[in-house]
Amino acid sequence: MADSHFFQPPLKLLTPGTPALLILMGAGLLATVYRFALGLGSTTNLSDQFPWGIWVAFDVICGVALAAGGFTTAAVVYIFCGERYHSLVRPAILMGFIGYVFVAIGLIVDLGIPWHIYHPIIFWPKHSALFEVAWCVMLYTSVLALEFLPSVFERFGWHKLQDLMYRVTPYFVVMILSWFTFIMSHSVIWAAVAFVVLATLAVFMPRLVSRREGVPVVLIIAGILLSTAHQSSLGTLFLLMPDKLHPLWYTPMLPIMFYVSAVAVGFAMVIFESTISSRNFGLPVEEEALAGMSHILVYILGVYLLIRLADVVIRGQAATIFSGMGVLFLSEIGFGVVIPIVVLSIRKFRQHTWLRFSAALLVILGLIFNRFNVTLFAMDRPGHGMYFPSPEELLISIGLVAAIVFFYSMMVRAFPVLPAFSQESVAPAPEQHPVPQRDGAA
Amino acid sequence: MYAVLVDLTRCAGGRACVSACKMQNDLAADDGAKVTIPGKRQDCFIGTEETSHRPPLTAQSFTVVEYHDASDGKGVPQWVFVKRQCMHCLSPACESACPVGAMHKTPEGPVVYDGNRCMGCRYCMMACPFNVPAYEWDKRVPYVRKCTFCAKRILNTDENQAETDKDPALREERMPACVAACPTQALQFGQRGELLSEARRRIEQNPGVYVNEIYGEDKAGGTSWLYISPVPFALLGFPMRVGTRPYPELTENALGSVPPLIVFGGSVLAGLYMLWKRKLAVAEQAAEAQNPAQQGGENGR
Repeated sequence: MADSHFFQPPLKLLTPGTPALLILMGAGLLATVYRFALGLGSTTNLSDQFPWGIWVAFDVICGVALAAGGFTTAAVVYIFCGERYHSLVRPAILMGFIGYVFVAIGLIVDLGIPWHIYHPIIFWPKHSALFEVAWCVMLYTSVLALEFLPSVFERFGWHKLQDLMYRVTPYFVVMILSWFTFIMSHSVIWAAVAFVVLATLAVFMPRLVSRREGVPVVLIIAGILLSTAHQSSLGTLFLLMPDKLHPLWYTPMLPIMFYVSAVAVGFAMVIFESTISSRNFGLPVEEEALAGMSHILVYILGVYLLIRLADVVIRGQAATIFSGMGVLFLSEIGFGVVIPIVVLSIRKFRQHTWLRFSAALLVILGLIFNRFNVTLFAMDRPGHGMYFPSPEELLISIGLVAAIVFFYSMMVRAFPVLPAFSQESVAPAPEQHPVPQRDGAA
Repeated sequence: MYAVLVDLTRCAGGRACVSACKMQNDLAADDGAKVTIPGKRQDCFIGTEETSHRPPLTAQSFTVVEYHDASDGKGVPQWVFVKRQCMHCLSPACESACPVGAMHKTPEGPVVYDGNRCMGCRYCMMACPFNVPAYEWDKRVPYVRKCTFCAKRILNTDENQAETDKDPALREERMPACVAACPTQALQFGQRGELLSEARRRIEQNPGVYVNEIYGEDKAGGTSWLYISPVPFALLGFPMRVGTRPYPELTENALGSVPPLIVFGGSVLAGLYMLWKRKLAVAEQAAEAQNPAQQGGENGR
C-alpha cells in the first residue's frame, strides 16, 4: 500500500493561518485588478529608466530559482542513489510545481500585453535567451505536473491511468526534448541527433523504471535537463548588459553562477519547507534526511563560493570588492554563502533543527539578494534615479507568496504528499497516526 | 545599407529634426506623460533645467537634441548639440533579446519593431546599449516606441530610383523626416560605406576640428547612425563602456550549448541512473534471498 508512506492532514479550508493568507491574497488580487484596469504606468514605479522592477526580479527571476528544489531533490533521489531522501521528493516536486505556476502568473501581471504570452510558441527568434527560458518554463511546468500526477492517481485509486501515464511518458519526453532541441538550434541535424539518442534511451528506460519510485525516470531526466537549461539561461539574460551590470556581477560565467546557486537554493528550500510543514502538521522533522541534504548543500555552496571568487580574481576585479559596490557583494557572499557553509559543515549544527533551518534561510535570502543585485542594484541605468516598488507592486508580490503557501497547504491536505514518518520508523497504518498537535496553514 | 552621418560641428541645436519627427510620427507632447526624470515619477516634462537641456527619449519623443556644455566650466561655454535617437545597430542587442522576434534589423538599415508580436516583457529596453526603446507607460495596452529610421519613407520600391533621385523633392521624400528637415546639413543620409568615407574625409581635411573617432563605426559591432564630433564623445554623454563586439555574440556560446546539453546530459543522466539501478538490483537480490515472501508482495502491486 503506497498510501501508508504518506500522511494527509484532514482537509480543512479554515485553519488558523488561513485568514491571514486569504487577506494577503485578496489584497494582491485587488492590486492585480487595479494594475489591469489602470495600466502599468499608474500602478507601478516602473519607468523607462527601470523597465524591470520587483515583479521581474522577485516573482520571476527569484521565483524560478526558489522553485529549483523540485529538480534537485528528484536528481538526488532518482539519479544519484539518494534513497534515504525519498520522503522529501514529493513535497519538493509539489513545491516546484506550485512555484512555477505562480511564476507564470507573476509574469502575466508584469507583461505589458499579457494576452500575447503565447507568442514564443509561434514566433521563433534565433538568439534570444528569454525565448529559451519561455519554452523551458513551459515544458518544465508540464513535466512537473506529470511528476506530481502519481499522487493524484494514488489519491483516487486510478491505477489504470497511472499505467497509461507510464506508457505514454517516454514518448512525451522524447517528443518535447527533440522539439526543444530543434527550436533552440534551428537545426534539423541537432533535432535528429537528440531524437535518436533520446529515443534509444527511452526504449530501455521504461523497463528500468522502478515502480516503487512512483515517477518514470525518463521524466525525472527531462526535468533535470530542462531545469539546467533555463536556470542557467536566466543568467544568460544579463550577458547582454556588459556595459550596465557592475563588473563584480557581470561575467561570461553568469549562466553557470545562476545554475549553481539555483541548485544550492533548491536544497535550502527543501530544508526550509520541510521543517516548517513538519512543525505545522505536527509531524516529526525529517532530521536524518535534512541533515544529509544540508551536507550536500555545503559542497554545492563551496563550489559556488570558489567559482564566484575565482571569477572575480581572474577577471582582475579583486580590488573592486573593497569599493562601494563591494559592500553588496561581500554581504551577499558573506551572509548567503560563507556563514551557511561554516554552520552546516559542523555536524552538530547540521543535526540541530533550527540552526540548520536558519542556515538554509540565509542561503535563500542570499540568493534573493544576489538576483536583486544582478537585476536592480548593480545595474547602471541611465539617469541617477532610484526605484522603489509601489504599494501595488508590493501587494501583488506578497499576494503571490501567500497564494503559494495557501495552495501548498491545501494540496498536501488533498493528496498524499507529506511523509508519514522518517525513514527509520516502521510505517503504521493511516488510522494509527498520532493526532497532530498543531494544525496551521502557514 | 542606408545610414545617417551626424556632424556635431554643424548642428545648431534648432531642433527642426525634433519637430519634423513629431509631425512625421504623430507624436504628442511629453507633458503629463510619465517620463524618466532622475529620481521620481514625474508628471511634468517641460520647464526643469535638467530636462530642457537634456530631455530623455520617451514614447512620444523618438528623437531629442541634448545641449552639452563641453567647456571645463571656467571660461566661455562651448555648446555642442547632440541629436539622439535609435542608433540602428548592425547587430542589434534588442533583436537578439526579444523572445518573440518583434525587433528586426532590415537589410536596408532600419531596426523595425512589430507591435503585433510584442508581449511587453521590456527586455529590449534593458538590453539596448544606448538606452533607446521607450515604453507607453501611460497606456493600458502599451507598446515599445522608438525611432523607426522612417522605414516607411526610405524603403521605397521605386524601380526607377536612379532616375527619380535627380528630383530633389522626391529625394527628400525618401529621406528620414529629420534629415530632410535639418537646415544646417548636420545630418546626411546615404549609403553607410560612402558616409564612413565622407566622415573620414572631413576628419582628415579639417585638422583640429574633429576628434579622430567616428562613433558608430564599430561601437556595438557598428551602427547605422554615425557621429563625428569636435570634442571627445565621453564629454557628450555617449555610452563609452559599449565595446566593439556585436551584442548577439555575447549570448551565442551560452545558448549554443543548450542542444549538446540535452543530448549529452540526457545520456549521462541515463547512465548514472542505470548504474544505480544495478546497485539496487544487487541489493534487492540479497534481500530476496533473505525474505522471498515480502519481495513478492511488493512486486505484485
